[in-house]
Amino acid sequence: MPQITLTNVTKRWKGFYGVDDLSMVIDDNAFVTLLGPSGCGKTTTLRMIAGLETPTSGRITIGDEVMFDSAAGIDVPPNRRHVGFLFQNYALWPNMTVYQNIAFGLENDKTYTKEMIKARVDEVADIVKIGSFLKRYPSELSGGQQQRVAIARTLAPKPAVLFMDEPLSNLDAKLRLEMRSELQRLHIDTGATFVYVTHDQMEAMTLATRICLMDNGVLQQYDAPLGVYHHPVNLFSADFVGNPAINFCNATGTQQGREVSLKMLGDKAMQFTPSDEVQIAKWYLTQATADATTAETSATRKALKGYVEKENKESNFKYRVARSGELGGTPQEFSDSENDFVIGVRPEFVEIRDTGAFEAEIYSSMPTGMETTVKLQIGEFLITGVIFGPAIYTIGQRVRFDIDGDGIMLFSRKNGRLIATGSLRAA
Amino acid sequence: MPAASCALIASRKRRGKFSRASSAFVNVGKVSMSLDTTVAPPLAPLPVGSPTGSPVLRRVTTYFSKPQNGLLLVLGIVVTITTLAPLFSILIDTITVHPGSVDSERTGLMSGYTIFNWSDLVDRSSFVKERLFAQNFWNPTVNTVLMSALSCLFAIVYGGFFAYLVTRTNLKFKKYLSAIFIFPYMMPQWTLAVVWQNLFKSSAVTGGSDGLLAAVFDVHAPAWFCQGLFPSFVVLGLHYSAFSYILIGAIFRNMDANLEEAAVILNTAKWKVFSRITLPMITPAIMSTILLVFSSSMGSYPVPHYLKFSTLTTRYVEMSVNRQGQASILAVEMMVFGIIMLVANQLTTSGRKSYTTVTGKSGQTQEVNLGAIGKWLIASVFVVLTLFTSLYPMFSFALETFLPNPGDYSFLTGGGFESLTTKWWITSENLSENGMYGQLGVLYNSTIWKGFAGQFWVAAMSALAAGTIGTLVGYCVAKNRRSRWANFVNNMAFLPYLMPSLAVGVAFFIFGSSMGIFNTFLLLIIAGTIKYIPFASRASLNSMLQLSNEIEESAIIQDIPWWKRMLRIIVPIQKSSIISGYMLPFMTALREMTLFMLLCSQTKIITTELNYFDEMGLYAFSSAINLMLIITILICNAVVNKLTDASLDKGIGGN
Repeated sequence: MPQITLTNVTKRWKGFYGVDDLSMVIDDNAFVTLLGPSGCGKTTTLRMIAGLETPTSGRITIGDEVMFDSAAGIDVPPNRRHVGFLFQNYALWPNMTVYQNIAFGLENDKTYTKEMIKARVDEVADIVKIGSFLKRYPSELSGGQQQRVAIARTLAPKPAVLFMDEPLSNLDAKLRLEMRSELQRLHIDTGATFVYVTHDQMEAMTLATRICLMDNGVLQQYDAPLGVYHHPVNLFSADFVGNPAINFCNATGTQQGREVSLKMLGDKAMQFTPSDEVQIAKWYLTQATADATTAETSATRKALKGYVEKENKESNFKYRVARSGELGGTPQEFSDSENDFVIGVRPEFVEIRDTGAFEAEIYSSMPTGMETTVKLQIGEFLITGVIFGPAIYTIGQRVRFDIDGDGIMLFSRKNGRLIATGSLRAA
Repeated sequence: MPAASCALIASRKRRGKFSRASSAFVNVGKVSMSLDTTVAPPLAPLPVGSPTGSPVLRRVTTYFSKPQNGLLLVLGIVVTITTLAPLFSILIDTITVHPGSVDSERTGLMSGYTIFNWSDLVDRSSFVKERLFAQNFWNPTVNTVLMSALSCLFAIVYGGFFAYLVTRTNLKFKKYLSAIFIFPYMMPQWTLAVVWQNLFKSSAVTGGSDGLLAAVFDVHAPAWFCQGLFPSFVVLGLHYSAFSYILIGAIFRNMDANLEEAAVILNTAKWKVFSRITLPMITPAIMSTILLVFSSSMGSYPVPHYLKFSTLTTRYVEMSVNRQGQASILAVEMMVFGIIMLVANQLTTSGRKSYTTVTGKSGQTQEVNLGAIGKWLIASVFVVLTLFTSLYPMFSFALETFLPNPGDYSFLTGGGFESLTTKWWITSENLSENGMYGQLGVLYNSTIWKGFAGQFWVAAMSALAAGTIGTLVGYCVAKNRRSRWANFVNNMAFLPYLMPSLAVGVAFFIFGSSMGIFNTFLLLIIAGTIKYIPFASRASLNSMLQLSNEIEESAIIQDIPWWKRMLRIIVPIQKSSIISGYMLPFMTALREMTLFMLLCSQTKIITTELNYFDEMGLYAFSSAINLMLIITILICNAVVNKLTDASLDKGIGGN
């Protein structure tokens, strides 16, 4: 029933755009995570939907009710949006017991009798297993227990939409894993729409039905988790999602027929075969047309009176190429040439085998038992790979490896966007 | 109706911005989304059942649906009017003709406006005028600035040094000393001035009766020591050193010891650690001490009055008899100093350096060792010093009430205890005898008891009003942190804090006279309320800012009404700061003289009755009143301490 629609929502403080022209649809019963680095506007977005923050302009609807519309002057206060909100620091009322905390919102609802309130409190307390703490005060509970109380309090009035602002970030690693699966179960049990803010990409990947990836107030990609993982629209998306992070390598080359001949990792000659046919020259043309339209509309927008120059300008994402001896890799600039590319290789596509096409030295090796994360040094470059199974490598050992699979990504180094995915082999 | 029209204008302005922006939506559409997989839906028509009416009206309704917004508007208007109206009335008074005073005589006008008062005050055209200029304007100004500056210095050095000893060394009797050091601040400001006089005056040097030292030991202190600048700033400095002790001590106590340890590890010399790290850390405390002490000393009347020092306040009172207009100029001058302080306060607190002093892991630095003898010796010196500023005044006042005549210490010099008398306390008849000018003894004197009741009534009512308004201001400002209007309201409410008491008193005197409420409790209560709102608004704002917004938001989202959120969540959590918001004004009003003395006849409240009995020569009566006041304050303070954890010494630190 409640589908949430955001249309051109913008929030700015003077020249700083917290959220810039965001439009998205959150389907009923979805579990959407707002994901992005800190300060990207995800919490602001959530608070605007809940009504705790007033957008500068735009329109928000929940179900078929307009909650906010700057043009029509509508701003439904948060208390009448019938939503639940789970705060990062729980915001439990320290002066009330657990029971009072949960019951407080219900007491306010005239349709609830005293008995019904008690029944409902017991019910939600059971769901999150805090039945034995009802008489305690928040300060007498552990972090995990407080978290459960906060969930129970939010669930008690049966909201159809539930907003959560980094609800697990205050918990220790083990508890976080546990609560993660409980949240998933809760989503199924309650049938509510969940909107969930996190900066932890693992949380987003594992919980969400769709991920809304944001950076610097701008929506980057809105897609199912595996869609974002396998088909990131740009270098930022590719880099932000995935742990260990994706490997980027600069490459230059030209397309001949379907294949793209590339020189990369020093001057290794490689051949990239896109899974779906793509003509790079034509692709650039389409991109140029789209960019022109964007430029035109943003020019119209800027020409309007009352437009405030955006201080936090979008700058090109500086992807990094890992090099030995350099912590975190070297930030790379975009290039002007259409013959410059960036190859993205997820660590699981690196296979160590004796017949491998590349020769490398083990730079570091971190086995966890289930898999081993290795860094391979090839020339001055480092490639991260994840090898499944209990493999043991010694540092300095010489190995050969291949880049396997058809999930290799080819990005344009001119605009940072994904051109195609495909497979890579030595020429 | 200004409230509604104000909001309307504001919303109309905003509407302009919105409608322009909204016309852009249609064009911009989804273009910025070219990268993602969603398509922005077209703007759907407004669904049935959504609110109708003009957007402006809706926006106004939305704005006022948040109680803090409406409340802020009302409070803002009330605070602005009650703060600014009296200030303007002083300004107007300086150019008004006062029948029967100098301006009327010289200009020949009986009513209307003239700039005579301004030109005459600064007129230096003849020798006589030159003398008048010095006497009425220049000397009081210089004296006031000197006295205030030296009081600051004294308070900071004495209080700061003591704070250092208590927090950073292994001094003995810390607990006792810390409690007793606050005493002078709790007692009425003039206590130490009167005690100083009773101790050092002598008929040979200062005229009048002999003080204790002169009468008993025949010690005659030099004149500069007995009255004038020196004792004035020492007394004020002692009074406010408690304040600087609390502020600086709090920082010393909370300062993360790691900050200093980090420097020590880097092998920094001790003096360098102090001057480059410790001193900068306590700078904010020093600044707020300076601001408060300077403006309070400047506005103090009783201290320079008792110690016979010509300052703006004492000069004001002397001149107000037949130079009312020129006296008002002195009040304006004090106001200007107050505004300078306010600006300075703004400048010092809005810097980019943030002095967060919340403790890290290391609990406390190693205490500085004063040495086996040192820790006892220094402690003993302070025990003796604080005895003179705490218990001795009470003893001295008590003693004065048993002396047959002021300065008659014959019971010490040979008369024995028979020379003492209880007549000042228990005389209930025979009014013509005993040199009591027709007054009954203190215990039977209805004037005194009425004055006490009056003082209590004024203190309680001002505290109730100031506490409520201040708490609400703090709440509303904390809720509207980024709004300019909220900042303005906050500053308006804070302005009286740095305004010299006497200037505020003058403002309300002129304001009250023109409103026809002079010499009513109403005027006293209004003045008290305005002057003390800052106590409550500061305490409340500071603690509201500590309270995460989410605590209230989590209730809003569950549709819990505002009054219920306040009563069940905010008030219970903020209990102690709210109580101190009520108690600080109460305790301060209980011993306030300067603010009230121009606003009512002398017998209305007990503090102004002191002047009344002093003028009559009934010094024993004033001593008895002082004694009773101090004891009352101590009892109240103890009760408050017992009932809550909000006490005067904790609260005044509230920046």
